[in-house]
Order: sequence, then structure tokens, then C-alpha cells
Amino acid sequence: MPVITLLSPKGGVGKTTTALLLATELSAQGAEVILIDADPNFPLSKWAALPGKPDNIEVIEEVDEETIIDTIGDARKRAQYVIVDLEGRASGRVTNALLVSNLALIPMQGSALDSNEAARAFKNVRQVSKHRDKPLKFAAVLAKTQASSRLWPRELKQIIAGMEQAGIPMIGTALADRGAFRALFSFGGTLATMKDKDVGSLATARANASAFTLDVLQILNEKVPA
Amino acid sequence: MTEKAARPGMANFSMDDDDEIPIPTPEQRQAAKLGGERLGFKSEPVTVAPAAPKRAVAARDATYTANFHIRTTPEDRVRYDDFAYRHRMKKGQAMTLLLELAEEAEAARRAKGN
Repeated sequence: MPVITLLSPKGGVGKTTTALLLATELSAQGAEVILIDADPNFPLSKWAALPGKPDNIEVIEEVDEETIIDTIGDARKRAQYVIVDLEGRASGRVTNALLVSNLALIPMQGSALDSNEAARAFKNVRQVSKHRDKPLKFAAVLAKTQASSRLWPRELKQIIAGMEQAGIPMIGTALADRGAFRALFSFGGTLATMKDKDVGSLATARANASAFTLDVLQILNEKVPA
Repeated sequence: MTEKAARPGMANFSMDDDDEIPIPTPEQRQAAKLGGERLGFKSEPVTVAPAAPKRAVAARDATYTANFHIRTTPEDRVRYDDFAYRHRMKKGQAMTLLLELAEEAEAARRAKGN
């Protein structure tokens, strides 16, 4: 079953939020999902300890570079989707996780620093892809953006244009910086179980997460030449 | 050219057999590792270290257990503290030494008197 890995050598770009949104959206549709929490701070395990974790999401902690390949291999036998959330740094764990992934997602925000670190991640994805039997699909994710693309800063638009020029695929739906997404880590549960009185613009947040997840599945379903 | 397939459903997404990712061989792992290291993706020790086992420390037997308040001159107090400090001995040990010396002096005086 597909393995989706979130990576970025820079912390705080939205990897864990993206991983959790994907997992909860997929689980809401009835899929069995395993989240592999490979961040030594274990933010997803902390979320799982809060009330409201769906029964069809399992969170596994794995921070060992040598065993992460086996952990992912075991997880993919048991679940319909495996989502790996790596820590925000460049480590050998990242390389090993990429070796057994179907899709690498690299979240980034609209700053030169983010795009530089993301470029390093893309290079590693490409070099890992060369050493696999099958090419590794990858895409950039615009995370923590302004909700309206009309308000996106010029710097972000330049970065997007640069990625298009470089032939780097991008998930069409950006994940905006939303209180509802952040609230998942405070209240636990999912966007589906969250209440309007807890956060604002919940319906918009749900629509955003759902559209993003469909875009990810679209890329996952694309065929790439071997 | 990338061939786009129909948008999949979420829960019933199924992959083709050729989408399975085989377990990498040791050679593939090594090559990818070297390539990653050139980009700064280096092996590092796991930062979540298991807690080190605590060494069992045998409880020491206390020797100087009697509490003893004494009024003396400030000068003698300073001399006493200084003596114990200079010889790196416990105050109780200094007291034992003081008494032993005093008793030896007493015995010497007694012998001299006899």
C-alpha cells in the first residue's frame, strides 16, 4: 500500500500538520492509516494521546535510521496508507525512508530560506530515486500560506515560478495557515469531529484539507516512466 | 510524459503491482546513503537515548550521629573550623582527635606526677 513521506531539512514548515491532515482525511473516508512518527519530539504520538483519535489511525514511533525501512515495510502490509512524518533536519533516516516511499512531499513556505532547504530535499529525493528500482514520485507542498492566493507575497510567487521552471511538481491545493489545523494538536481528534464553537472557519478548513488530499491522491495515482 | 489516471477514491485507492516498492538491497542503501551524505543528509545518533541505568550506591554507614551543641569563643570556633578544614576531616573526626590528644596529655601528666 502507498507510502507517503513528508520531509524537509528545515523545521516548522508544516510537515506534521500536513501528515496529520492527510491521515485524518483518509481515515474519515474509511481507510486504515498508519502514521509513522519519525520526529524525536513525537508530535503525532502526542496528538494520538489526546481524545478523539479515530480507531483506523495507528501511530507508530520510529526514530532509528537502520530499522525505519523494516518499520515502513511492516506498516504497508497492515494499512491502506502509510504516512511517514520525518523530523525537520537532514539525516540518514530521511534517505532510508525515501528508499521505500511511493511519494515524497516537501512542504515549504514562501521564503528564500525555505526554498533553499526544499531544494536540498529535492536533490536528495532525486539522488535516492536513481538508486531505486523504481523512480520516486515527489511534489512540493505550499503550507501555511495566506488563505487567498491573491494575498500571497511576491517572494512566494517567485518561488513558485522558479519551481515550475525547474520542473518540480507541486500539489495544486495549498494548505493555508488555519486555526483549525493548529487546533488539532490542542484538542485532538479530526477536522470532522471538531466543533464550530472551538475554531473559526471550520468549513473552509475542512474543504481545504479535503481538496489537498484529493490532489495528493491524484499525484500518487499518476504513472511515471521507469 | 506523465500519464494521468482517473481521480481515485480515497478509501479504495489501490495500487498496481508495479507500484510496489521493493526492499532496497544493501548496495542500493549504501549508494543512496553516500549520495545523501554529500547533500548533508548524514547518519547521526538517535537523539532519544534510553535513560541510563542508575548505579546502585550502597548507603554509607553514618559514624558521627550524635548532635552536640557547644558554646565556645568565636576565636576557638574559627580555629576549630580551620583545623578541620586544613586537615580535610569531618568535625566529628576532629573532635575525636582533640579528645585523644587531651587524654594522652592527661595520661602524660599523671605519669609525670607519679
